[in-house]
Amino acid sequence: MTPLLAVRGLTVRYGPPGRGRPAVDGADLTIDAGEIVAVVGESGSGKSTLAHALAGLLPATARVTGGVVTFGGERVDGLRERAWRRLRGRRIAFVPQDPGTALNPLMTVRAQLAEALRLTGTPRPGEDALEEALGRVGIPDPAAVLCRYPHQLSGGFRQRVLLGMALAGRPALLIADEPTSALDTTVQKTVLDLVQKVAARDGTSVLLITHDLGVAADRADRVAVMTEGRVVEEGPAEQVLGSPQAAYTRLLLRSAPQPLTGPAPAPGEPLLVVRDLRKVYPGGTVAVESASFTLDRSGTLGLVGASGSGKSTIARVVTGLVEPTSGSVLLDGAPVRAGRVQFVAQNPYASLDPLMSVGRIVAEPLRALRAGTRAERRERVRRLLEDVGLPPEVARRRPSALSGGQRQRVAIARALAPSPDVIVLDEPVSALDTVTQAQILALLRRLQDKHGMAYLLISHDLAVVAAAAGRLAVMRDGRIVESGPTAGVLAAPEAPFTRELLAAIPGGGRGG
Amino acid sequence: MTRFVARRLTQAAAVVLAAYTLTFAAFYLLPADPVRIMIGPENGVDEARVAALRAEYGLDRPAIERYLDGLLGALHGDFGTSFQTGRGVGSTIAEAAPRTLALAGGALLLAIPLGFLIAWWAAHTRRVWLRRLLGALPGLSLSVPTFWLGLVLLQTFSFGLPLFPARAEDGPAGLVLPAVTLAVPSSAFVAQVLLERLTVEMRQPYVDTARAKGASRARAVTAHALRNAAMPALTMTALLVGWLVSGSVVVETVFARNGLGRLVESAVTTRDLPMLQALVVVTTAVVTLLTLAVDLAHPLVDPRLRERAA
Repeated sequence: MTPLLAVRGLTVRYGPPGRGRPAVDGADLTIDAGEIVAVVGESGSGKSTLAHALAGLLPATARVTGGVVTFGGERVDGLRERAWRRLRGRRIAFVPQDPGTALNPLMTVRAQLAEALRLTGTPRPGEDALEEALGRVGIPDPAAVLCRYPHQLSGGFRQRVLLGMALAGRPALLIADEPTSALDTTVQKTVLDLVQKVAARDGTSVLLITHDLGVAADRADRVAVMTEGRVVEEGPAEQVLGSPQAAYTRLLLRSAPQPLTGPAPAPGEPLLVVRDLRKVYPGGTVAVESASFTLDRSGTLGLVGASGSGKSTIARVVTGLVEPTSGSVLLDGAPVRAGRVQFVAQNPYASLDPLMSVGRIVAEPLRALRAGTRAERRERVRRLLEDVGLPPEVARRRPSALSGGQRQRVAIARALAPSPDVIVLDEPVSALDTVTQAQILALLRRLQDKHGMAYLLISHDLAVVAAAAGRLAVMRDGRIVESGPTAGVLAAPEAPFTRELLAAIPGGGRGG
Repeated sequence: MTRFVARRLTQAAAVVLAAYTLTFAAFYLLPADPVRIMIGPENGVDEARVAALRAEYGLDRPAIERYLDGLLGALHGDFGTSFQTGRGVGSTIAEAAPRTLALAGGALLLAIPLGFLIAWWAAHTRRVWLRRLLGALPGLSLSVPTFWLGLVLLQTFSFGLPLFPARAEDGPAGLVLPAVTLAVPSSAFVAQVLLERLTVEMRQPYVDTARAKGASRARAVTAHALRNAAMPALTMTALLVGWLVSGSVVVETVFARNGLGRLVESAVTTRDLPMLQALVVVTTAVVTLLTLAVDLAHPLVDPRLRERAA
């Protein structure tokens, strides 16, 4: 049988010829009709470029410089724009990564969906055609959603609308580029369930691009692992993930967060005590409703919840960036003094001033607290960089010269600078690749063993929290719904929401 | 929404009031004596004449009284009397304004489509050399001096090929060359701002979504990216109108048209302070109102702002 899509030796380059490594470097891939194939890789592996190339959506700066791509038995590499337009939408559909930016913010769902239907052969889509297209992707009240603008919908609904538009032309192949990496775990599960269901119902093949091995394991018939532009391993999902052959696949599998083992930490000496915290933002939004928790000295408390659950507000209140409406935050029984609680933000690409040198960034808390002389501060910066595993010459560089993992190390060094009692880690690894994520989590453990500070670890990812935190608190709608030792909560969750979160972790088994 | 409009109207009124107050302070409160400035150092100083002029223009009255009187008058459209001609400032401006309005309007009518066309084409084309060429156009046309462009056009299309009159106070034929002269740099402003936004918008995932649905590049630019990119260009256009007043100084001189630009030029050379002050206030008011109109139009285009404004 001819495969639906066959890619042989595909090479894609950015920029002028002969310079640098190609983004996709001789990649091979096959997708049969009705099959779900996952391409797994880290950022920079070329997986997204591959997805764009197969949809004919490469930017003007990129060129296909080699290889053969056949789709439905016909060659599609080197097709002209006009020919691509006959394929896109009708035969090959594409869902981009971030549902927050993938819909035109100025147009209603109706206008955008109608455009999709018009472009794929329904000249004047009527109300019933529009509602049917939304109904197919599990939107319960299509008539209401049609009138909405994208910003009035949740991330999950936006992704469903995008999926509905992509499927409007009944394509043979759906290419989904990290369709759920911007969504909460529970929403991710619903959207992926839907993709699987629709693919099975319509016989649509799916090319699922993901960085998440668990997602690939749950959803794909076959898995291709990409690194440095090449597909290093391809095969049935169970085989690739069960008995990986390539060294890189094994590294990826090893890096997936593993739950902490060993006995639960004994209740220690309370360090940070938060009582009846309540935060109402101007305009009346209640972000946090009577939250109480205790962080032990040298302990790690994981705070888990979906976006909007109030966990970031707690992080900001504890750090002193936001005043609580009521309630108390006490460190060693007293109000928190400047510098005792430090903060590591989610996105190391945005949290470091691009115009400052790394040395200045790390020394900034010391300067703010007027600690030490200039020479002492320079020496301290050198030791801090060493602590987080960065060479001293990094101090002279700017953040733009560093990788994401290195930047997060700089942010951690900055938080360590005033020797704080508590470091608040707000989604410290969610912007990082699996391998880097594992390295940063290991670094955090090592630093805690050495310096003995406590961590308040905020995350939407239960797997990350299980891998790093001895104790756990689950938040929903501004309230803490469950807390206790991590292993105990995960083994016997009491709150329904915790059970839901647990069930949504990818990699738990074949979903559907 | 009404509260939003009311707040913006108050802000606009405050800006115009500030323009009036600042020019008043600069012209009449600084130690320099306006009458002496007007007479100029070259004409010797006859103390009796200075005193007579001061009395004639009411400059011997207390500053606060003059400020409030002037303000009250300005609110009724009375900007006082020109130091130079002795005629009412308001009526002189009203006389000159239509000619400049026609010039500026004609320039905008050419500049906006031209600017949009350049930006649209540069965003649409896949040819790198063409995109670079079109992208370089705005910078190039901004660096061409207006007076030089005007003179070249005059030489070519009036004296060389007698297609358009060299001097024509009124009538559409006489408007063509000056409007084109002013439109070239104006279109550059529009194209520059629009192209910058369009380049950003074309990289947004929603453009990929549109093209994945099967939309052509032309459709992706026109129906999706352009709407998202248009707002900054519209704001730019409102500011451009203010620039057109100073642009008309040169163009009206080159083409010998009696408009606001010439009025500005003569008011500056003859140090006609009431005239200058009125010109500043009128220009500020026009630009402020246009900016306000554009700001109020934003929510019509962007539904996210509609909710914030509500």
